[in-house]
Amino acid sequence: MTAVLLSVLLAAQPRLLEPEVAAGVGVLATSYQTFGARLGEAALAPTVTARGVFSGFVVEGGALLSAPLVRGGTLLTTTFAARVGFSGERWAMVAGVVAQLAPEATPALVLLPSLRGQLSFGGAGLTLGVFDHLGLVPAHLSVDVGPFSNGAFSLGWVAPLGLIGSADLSLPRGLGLRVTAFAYRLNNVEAAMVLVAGTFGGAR
Amino acid sequence: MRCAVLWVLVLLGCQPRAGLDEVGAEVGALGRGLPRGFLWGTATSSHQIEGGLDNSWTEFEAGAFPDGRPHIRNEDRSTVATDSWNRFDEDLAAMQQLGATTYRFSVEWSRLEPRKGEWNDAAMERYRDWCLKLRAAGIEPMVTLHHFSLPRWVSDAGGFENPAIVDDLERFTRRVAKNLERQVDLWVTLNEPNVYAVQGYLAGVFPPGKKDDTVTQTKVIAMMLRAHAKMAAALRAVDDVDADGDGFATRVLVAHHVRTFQPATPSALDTAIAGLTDDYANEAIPRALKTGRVLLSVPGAITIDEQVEGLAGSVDLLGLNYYTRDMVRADLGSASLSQLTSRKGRAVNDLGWELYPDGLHGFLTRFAAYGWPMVVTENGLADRSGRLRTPFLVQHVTAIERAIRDGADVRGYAHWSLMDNFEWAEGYDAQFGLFTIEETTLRRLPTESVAPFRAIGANIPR
Repeated sequence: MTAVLLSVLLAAQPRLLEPEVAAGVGVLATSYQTFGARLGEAALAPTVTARGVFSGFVVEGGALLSAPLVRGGTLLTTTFAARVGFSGERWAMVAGVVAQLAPEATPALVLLPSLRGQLSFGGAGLTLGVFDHLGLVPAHLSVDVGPFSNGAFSLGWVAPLGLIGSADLSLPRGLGLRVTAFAYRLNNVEAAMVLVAGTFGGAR
Repeated sequence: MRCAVLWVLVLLGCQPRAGLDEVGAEVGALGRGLPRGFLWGTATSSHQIEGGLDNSWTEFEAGAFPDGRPHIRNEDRSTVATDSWNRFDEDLAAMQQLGATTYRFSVEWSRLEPRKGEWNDAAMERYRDWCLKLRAAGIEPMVTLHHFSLPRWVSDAGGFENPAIVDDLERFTRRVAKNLERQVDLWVTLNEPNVYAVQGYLAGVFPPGKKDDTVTQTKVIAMMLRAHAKMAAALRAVDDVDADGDGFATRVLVAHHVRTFQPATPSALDTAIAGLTDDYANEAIPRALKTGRVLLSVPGAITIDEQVEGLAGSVDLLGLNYYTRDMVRADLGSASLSQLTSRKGRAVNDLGWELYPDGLHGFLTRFAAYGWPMVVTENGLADRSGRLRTPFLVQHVTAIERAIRDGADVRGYAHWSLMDNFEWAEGYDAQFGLFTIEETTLRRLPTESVAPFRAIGANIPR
């Protein structure tokens, strides 16, 4: 029975997740008390992510450097993420860990679980993430639309109060452009990011 | 809407507004942006200045932590403190030198009621005399009824862990109000309930010295709010004398300690813990005072959700004690779920607290939404060198003026402190005073900040 199941799962077939490399740069901001606050919490955030898919088994890795743009910003932080999982044709699940290293903070290293699950219903789908996007988004539930011939997009809710969206634009030779943005609020603390990345490989 | 604004700012490239810490130290016209009748003065507390006390703190001062370290830095004891019990005239002269129009001080419960039901009328008379002298000097007394210290008979019975304290404090309040009603209109029931609970039950550096007990800490804050509700009702019932003819016989405040909590990193967890910490420490108390609902939560430990009779509408003004900003780093292994640090590369006071005047502007504009007029009931810094105090003062008063321009109704400012004094667990090392105390003679000696303080006060419209 197990062998049959494995053979079905591992058979060469289209996968929801495909190998991909993405690199980009974002502007990340946290805000406190909003209107009265300085926007001194903005940080520049170069990121790189990579995904390999081997007979359905998925390995993902990523790194983000958050460097404050102005004096008094959030601390310099380096984030690494590693997740493994599996992708079928209409579903995928990856789970792993996000390690956030901020040498000036105590504790310097914080580890977070990270999870992302996706379901596809043809031209649309759902994505559930916990500490997804390199640990920057607490939890989100998104609706994915596409892929179309020239790209895809998604829009979702970030817990407890916020939005996340992304748009993928397909370019020739397997290249693509992805814009991801989110903003959320918890009590009087807010965070937001806009990330523009170039991609190579299976976009979604 | 606010998220949308933040988005726009992000998209515009995050141009930061010049911070208030970039304001210089020149007084200039500072003060003219404050409203007519703005209260301008200083704050102290009985245990820190009076001397000769016997209460929960004097007992704690003699003790040590399990690892042998003394409870108080350098094994300092409050003992004679600044001897203000016997030198009030010198304190008053210092206030006059500052051009002050208000003085926030506390009456010492352990002195007035050393044993349950046993009252020290002579001590009460002395406090009344102080108030008379203040009034005669044109200085509005602002009297705090509880400022961290407890009589031993109260602390021995469990302090704010024992519900009996609610009625005991109500009785004490009635007694004090009856005796001072002709001189006092401004009453602060409690000083910094959140600090009392956190320092006493989480950090363990205030009496009763318990550590990592967030459950009792949270129950203590709730108990303090219950006590406040009854104290406020007692004040309004007893003090019906308008001492200064301004139309108000009694105006009740809580001196609420606020602290800017920001995520140390952009991590979602740091952001989430900062949001929870801010709600617990900063928002829960004003929310309770407005709605009567005490809603306090430490995830995984305790949640209190209770409607307290008489709490809604129990304050007429909101007092804010503001000092600094902390960066919040998630640490799920600690009782508070976080570690707090100061920003690197920023100016700090002698205790390592970041000097962050924008935070005061932020809180004044934020809490304006509750609709109360506000008084800055404490604001100051430990600065042995004296070099930081004047720019600190100028920057924070500028923050108040900007907050007023932005719609906040701010009615007063009490600098912490009139003079160097016994700074709790920090002993005598932390020097917060506009006046220093000469060690041998206890004379009050003006710092360089006295003149700028007076100059700002002189600019306030009369």
